[in-house]
Amino acid sequence: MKTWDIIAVLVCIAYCGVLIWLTFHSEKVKSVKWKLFWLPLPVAALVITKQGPDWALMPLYIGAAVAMCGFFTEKNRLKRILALAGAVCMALSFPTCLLNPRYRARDFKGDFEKLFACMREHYVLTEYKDIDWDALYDEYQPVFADIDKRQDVGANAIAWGKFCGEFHDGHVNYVYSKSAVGDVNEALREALGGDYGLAVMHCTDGSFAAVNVDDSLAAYGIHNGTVIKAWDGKAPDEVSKSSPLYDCNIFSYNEETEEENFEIGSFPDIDNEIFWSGILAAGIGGDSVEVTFIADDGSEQVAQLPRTGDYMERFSDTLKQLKKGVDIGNLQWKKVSDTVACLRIKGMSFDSKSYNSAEDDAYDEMKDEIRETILRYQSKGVKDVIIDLRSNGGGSPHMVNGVLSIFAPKGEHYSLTNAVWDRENACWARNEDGSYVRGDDITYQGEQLLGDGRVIIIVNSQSVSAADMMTKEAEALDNMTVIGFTGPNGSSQAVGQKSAQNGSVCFSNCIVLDSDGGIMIDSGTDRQSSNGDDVQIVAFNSEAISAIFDSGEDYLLNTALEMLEH
Amino acid sequence: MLDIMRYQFRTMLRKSAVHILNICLLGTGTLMMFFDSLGNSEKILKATEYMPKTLPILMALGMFGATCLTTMVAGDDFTDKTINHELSAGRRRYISYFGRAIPSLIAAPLCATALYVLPYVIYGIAFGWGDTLPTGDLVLRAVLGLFPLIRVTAFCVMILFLFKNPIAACMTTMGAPMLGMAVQMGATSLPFLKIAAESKHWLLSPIDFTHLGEFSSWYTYNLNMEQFYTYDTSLDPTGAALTVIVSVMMTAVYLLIGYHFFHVDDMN
Repeated sequence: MKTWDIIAVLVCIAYCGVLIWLTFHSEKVKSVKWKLFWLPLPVAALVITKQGPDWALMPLYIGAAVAMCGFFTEKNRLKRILALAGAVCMALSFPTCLLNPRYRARDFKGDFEKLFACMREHYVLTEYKDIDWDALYDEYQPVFADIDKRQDVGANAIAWGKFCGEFHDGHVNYVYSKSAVGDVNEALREALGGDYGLAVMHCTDGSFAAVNVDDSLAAYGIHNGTVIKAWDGKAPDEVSKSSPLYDCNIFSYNEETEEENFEIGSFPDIDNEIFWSGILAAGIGGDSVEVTFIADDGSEQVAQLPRTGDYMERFSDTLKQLKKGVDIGNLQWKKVSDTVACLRIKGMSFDSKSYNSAEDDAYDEMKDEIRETILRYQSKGVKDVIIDLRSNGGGSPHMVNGVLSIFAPKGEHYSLTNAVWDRENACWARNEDGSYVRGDDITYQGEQLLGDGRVIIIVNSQSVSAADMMTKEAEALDNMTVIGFTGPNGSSQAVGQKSAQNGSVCFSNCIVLDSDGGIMIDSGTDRQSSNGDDVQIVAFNSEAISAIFDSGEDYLLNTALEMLEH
Repeated sequence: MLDIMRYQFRTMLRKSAVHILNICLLGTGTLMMFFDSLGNSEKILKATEYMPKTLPILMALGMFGATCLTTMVAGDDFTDKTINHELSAGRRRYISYFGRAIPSLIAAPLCATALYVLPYVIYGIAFGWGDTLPTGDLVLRAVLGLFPLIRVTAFCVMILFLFKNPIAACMTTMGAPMLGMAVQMGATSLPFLKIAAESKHWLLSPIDFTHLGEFSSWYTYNLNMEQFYTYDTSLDPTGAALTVIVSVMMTAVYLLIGYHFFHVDDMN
């Protein structure tokens, strides 16, 4: 039973005691004003319970009303009986709360109904992605009804993660409440499975390799980069698919710092999904797993690896090693060689004023800062720039244009096209052929501050939204190259949010068009994003694995430096 | 009783303090809209476009007006001992009580409704009414809003007769519009405001009343930061029924408590 409910019941019972005492006292000190003491009881019953009223506390409310009836009588004996009856009735709140499974229950089912209805009405990529809302409802409504019955906070977040994953849209996410973080982490820990001393990643050549390997596996001949042929007799990507977290969009947060631990994603672009297709396999198994691998001598060997704990820590650490960018603040610079400086952009926002503006000069202050820094670096011999967009969560497309305008070749460059809102029908306007009506184009002027210098942009599968837009725009510029183990996320429509009792859901809500008038960047039913085709994919192989997991190097940054130096 | 009621209505119509207060509240609501609309918006909004953003605040102002009207008219009779003289002259207590409660229950909700509707009418005459929100749905909400307003007025009458002090009644009841306004503005850091915000709205009259000024909305935008709103003005039938039922029930309870106490009070 909740502490505040216990306090409310006890305070009200004690108040009934005070009322009984008052009946005796009022016989000695006669005044009609004593009657006023009978009135605050129902207010106290409703107000002290910090979380508001609950059906299970009905005896408390009835008891308060019964005791308050003493207000209407002048007979002290009757007043005492009513106060006593009220107190007894209030005490019944304890069994009704303790025995009622719906006491202070969270409305997971109601949340699903509310958020699902909102998404169904306002998700703008329904046709483009061929979303079957009825089928989704039929599949997930019973899941949430069951979760509601079990009052399982962790399962609720994972079910939402699975639901959001169905859209293969980096903008569809469920944000659970802070109070749920502990439960969700426990559920994720269980769902991720056991630790067998390694994680498994898909390599560019199609093989699977051991990464982030525990030193204890050296005894079996397994180390970072060892080719994994099978996991319990099956291909690792097949095993991954049996994970409850496969194709799921969910975040884990640190309970104390509230910072992100890791993100599991369902990828809009199928190529990104392939890159991460082995990562969940390494947690799946019983007390031990049978791992088939290629030993250093080229022979195929089998090792029986015992479970040593939970996979969650190794999984989280592996993701961190693979996704981390240059470890400096947003829009901070770092000189990474004599001739190259790196600009880290973790999110596309400069300050709140510019973020909420579409004015041409909104990012002038940011541009001045960048310009000043570049000129200072140039005076020290810097010629080229690396822009690190890894795990950039997006933000303002106008900031993207502000940054690109500094580096882009001189002249006007196309950014994106607005869609047109049909006020009369309250929807995005369409042409007769069903395509969206094009609004105004957004463009920017390049100033090519680096002269002949080049720019390399580093991305990963978590570079999303405005970072996706920046990648697409950069790909079209002659002096820029985009590299990464994968392309960017592949989601770029603007986002809306709807809240419910236990969390909120974000989803694509505003149409953004490309130069052909089609949907900008997002993947359709073929799960091929129109972004990232010109990204130079850096091979994820034994060399990269060794550099990242043995030497702790920033392999992509080093690759970018090499490209600029040659 | 009719003569007391007639006197109460006449005082409401003739008392200059009441007129000044109502004009001030009406002017505050109207000017607030004019200045905000002319000062902040690139495009001047029509009345129904503006309504979803301001209606709960104007409704709270209306509720404030209703509270003041009740305490200024009925409450004055305690200050100048008119009620004591009535009782000394042999009037029955129920006549003194209901002769004051009934006019307040009729006039105060109507006054509150006028105080939040008229600013939109004036604004609409100046800048156009628009069709963002269907007028029929707005009228339905205004009619439904009378019930929680009656409930607030009954509460005010009860406090007035319990403490026989118009200032105490006004201050206690003023908590209602302030509570409504604070919750509407999202100030839920204080535990009680949090409870009020999370309670079923029909349980608390100020929240219930201002809730009727809220419209389920959704907005989208383009990358020029233009926002496009869509509103759902339909009312949940269960919520509407509970608004009426709970309001009527609580009005009866408040009036009964007020009368019972007044009935046995020694009037010192």
